[in-house]
Amino acid sequence: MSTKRSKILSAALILFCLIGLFPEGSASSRAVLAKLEKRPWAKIPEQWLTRIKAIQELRMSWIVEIPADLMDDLAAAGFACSLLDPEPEGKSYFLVSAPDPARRELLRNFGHAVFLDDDVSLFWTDDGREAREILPAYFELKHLSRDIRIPLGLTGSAVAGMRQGPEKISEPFPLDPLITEMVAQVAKSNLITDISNLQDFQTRYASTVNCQNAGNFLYSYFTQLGLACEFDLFSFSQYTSRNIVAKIPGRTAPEREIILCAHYDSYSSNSAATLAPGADDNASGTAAVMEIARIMKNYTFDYTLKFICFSAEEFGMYGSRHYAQSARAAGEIIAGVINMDMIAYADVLPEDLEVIVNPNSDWLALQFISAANRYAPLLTNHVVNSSITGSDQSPFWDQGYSALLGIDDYPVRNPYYHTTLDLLHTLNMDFATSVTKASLASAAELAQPSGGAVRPALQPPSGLQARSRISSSLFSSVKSVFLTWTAPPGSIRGYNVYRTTTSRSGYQKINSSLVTQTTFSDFFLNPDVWYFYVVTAVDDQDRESNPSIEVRDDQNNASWIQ
Amino acid sequence: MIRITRRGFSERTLLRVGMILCAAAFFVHPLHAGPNNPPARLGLSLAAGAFRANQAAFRDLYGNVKASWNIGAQARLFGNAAVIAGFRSIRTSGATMIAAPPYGNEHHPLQFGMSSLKLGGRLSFPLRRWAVFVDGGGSYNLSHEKWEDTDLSVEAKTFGYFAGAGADVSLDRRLSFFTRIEYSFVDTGKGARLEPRVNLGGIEASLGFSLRF
Repeated sequence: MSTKRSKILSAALILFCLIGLFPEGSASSRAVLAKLEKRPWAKIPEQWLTRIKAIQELRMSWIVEIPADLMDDLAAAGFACSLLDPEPEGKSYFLVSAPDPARRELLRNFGHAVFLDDDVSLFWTDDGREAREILPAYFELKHLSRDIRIPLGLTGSAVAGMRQGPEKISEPFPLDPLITEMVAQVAKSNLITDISNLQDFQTRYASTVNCQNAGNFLYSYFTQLGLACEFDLFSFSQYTSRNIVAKIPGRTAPEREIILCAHYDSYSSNSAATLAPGADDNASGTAAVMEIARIMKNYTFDYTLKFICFSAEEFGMYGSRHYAQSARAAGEIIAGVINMDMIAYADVLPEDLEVIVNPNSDWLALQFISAANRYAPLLTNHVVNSSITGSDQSPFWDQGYSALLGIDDYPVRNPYYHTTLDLLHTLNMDFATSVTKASLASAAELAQPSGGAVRPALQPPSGLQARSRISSSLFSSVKSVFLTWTAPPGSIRGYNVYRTTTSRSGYQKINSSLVTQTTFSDFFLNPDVWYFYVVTAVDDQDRESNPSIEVRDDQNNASWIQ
Repeated sequence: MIRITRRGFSERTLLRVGMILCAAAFFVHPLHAGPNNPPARLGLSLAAGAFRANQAAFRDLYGNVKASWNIGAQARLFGNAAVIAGFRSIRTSGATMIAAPPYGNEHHPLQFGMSSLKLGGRLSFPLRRWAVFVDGGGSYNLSHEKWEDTDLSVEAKTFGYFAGAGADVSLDRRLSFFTRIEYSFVDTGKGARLEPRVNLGGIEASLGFSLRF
C-alpha cells in the first residue's frame, strides 16, 4: 500500500515539475501582434511563413499575428519585426488614418495608439469600445479583422509610393457605341435627386432607424428598376445593419462579377442623434451607383454586374468586410470592384478624381483611367498605396480581390467632411456626373456588353481556351501560346486576337489580317511573362463583336495531359 | 594503359593519370634520348575529333557526339616542357526541346557553333619512337546559338580550362601521328529553362598529324 502511495506521489511530483517548466504550453509560443517591414531582399523561410498570420497589408509593412519566439528568430535573421501588442487576445483593433501628425498624437488621449505607415496608426482600447463612438470625426477608421489570413508576399518590393499627375493611357479599344450610348444617358438631374433624397433622411448613422429607412429606400429603388435585389444582413459591435445588393446576371459568364459600390451610411459626430446629411460622404457615391444601375439594367453583359450599397463603413468598413469575406468563403469570382466614396466635392477647378489601388489592383486603375479618358472625360490621379484603407475597397484587397477607390481628394479636402454641413449645395454636380460616367464606362467595359436593346447581338466567340508551352535551346527560351475558341452564330468573316500583359487592359491586336480559323498560335513570347488574350468576331458587315472572356496563356494547360 | 570508360574521364581520374605520368617523367627524361632523335623545337598539328558535351541539355539539343576540328602549335621551352596553343571549332545543328509543360511536339531548328582559343603547357615523355604527353591550360571560347526560324540568337564569350593527355608515334623525322583525350570546362554563366547555367565543356577524343621543325 505504501509502495503504491509513493508511486502516486512520485508521479504527481513529476507532473508538477513538468507543469512548472512549461506553463500554459510554453509562453514563447503565444501569439503577439507585430509589424513586419516589407523588404525587397527579404525571403522568409517557408517553415516560418506558415506560422505568420498577416491580417493587414500596408504600403511598407504588414500587421501580423506571430508566435513570440518566431519574432526573435525573424529579428535574428535580419527582418525588421516590431512588437505592437504582446496580448492581442480578445481585443478589437482599428486602423486609424490621420494625415495631420498633430491630430495623430491626439489618438493617445483616447486609448492605445502605435504609428505604423504613412498616416496610419493602430488603435485600441482596453474596454474594446467602438472607435467610431469615441474618436473625433476627422479620423478615418477601419476595423481590423483577425479572422482573415492575407497571403504574405514578402519577396516583392514595397510600392514606391504615390504617383502623381494624370496618366497617359493607351487606348485599348475604339469607343464602343453601346458604352457611348450608356454614358450619354447619365443625367445630372437624377444624381441631384438621388443625393437630395438620401440627405433628407437627416442621418444615415449606421446604428439608427434612419439608416434602416435609407436601406429600405435603396432596396425599393433597385427593385422598382426590375433588378434582383436583396438585403445582406450583418452585425457589428452590438448593432445590426444591412448591405443592399442588386444585380444584373451575366449572360455568357455569370460566375464572374463586376461590383459597383458605395457606402450609404453617414456620420458627423459620435452621437447618433446628430444631423449627418452626408451629401458628399457618401450620398454622392450611392447616387452614382443608383444612376448607373438605372442605365445598365437596359443592357445585357457577359459578366454579372452587382450594385452594392454598403452600411457601417463609417464604423470601420463592417459592411464591406462582411460582404468580401462571405464572397471569398463562397468562392465568388469578383473580377473588379469600383468603389465610389465622396465623388462630388471640387476644391479647385478643374477637379480630378483620385483613383486609389493597391499593387495587385493596378491594372484596374489603368483600365478605369483609360475608360475615363475616352468616355467621360475626367481628370484622374493614379495612386498606388496599400495604406489607404479608409474605404470599402480595402476589405476586398484583404480578400485578394482587385478593387479601386474613386474619391474627390485624398487626403480629404472637403471642409464639410463629417460635419452637419455636408449638404447638396456644397457639391459640384458636373464633376459628380463625370465621375459617374467614367465609372459606368469602366464597369461596362469590364462586364462586356453583349448586344442588348439597340444593337442586334453579334456575339463574341465563346469557349476561348489557351494553352502554352515553353521551348528552350541552351541560351534562349520562348513561350508559345495556342488559342482555340468556338465561333458565334451568324455570318462570321473572321476573328481578331488581342493580347496584353496586364489583365483586362492595354490589349493590342496581334493578327495582321483576319484570322479565318478558330485557332491561333502566338510564338516567340517571353517565357517569364503572363499573357492574356481575348478574341473578337468580325461579321460579313465588318462589325466587330465585343471581346470574348479573357484567358491567361496557361489557363487550360491541364488539358495537355488528356 | 589508359582505359576510356563510356562515361569518359572524371577529373579525379585525370589527376591520377597526370600524377603517374609526371612521376614517369623522372625516369624517361629526354637526356636519355639518343643524339639521333633530338627533341623538336617547334611543332604544328591538325586533328579531327569527336566531342561529347558534359551537360545533358547540350546532348539533348544537338546530339551525343559532335565532330570537332583542331589546329595546334607547340614550342619547346626546355627539357620536355613545351608551351602549346590551339584553335578548336565545333559546328552543329539541332532542334529546341520543350521545357514545360512536357507535352506536345514543337521544335525549332537551331544552329550552334563554338570556337576556342587555347593556351597551355605540355609535358612530353619520349620512349624511342613513341611519346606520351599530358597538357593543360586555359581557353577563351566564343559560342553562338541561333534559332533558324526567327532572329533569336545569343553569343557567349567566356573563359574556361582544359586538361588532356595523349600519345604520338613518329612516322619519320618530321611527321608523327597522335591521339589525344581532352576534358574541358567552360562555364558560360548563362542559361535558359533547360539548364540555368550552361557549361560547354566536355570530353573530346581526337586523332591527327603533327609536323616537327
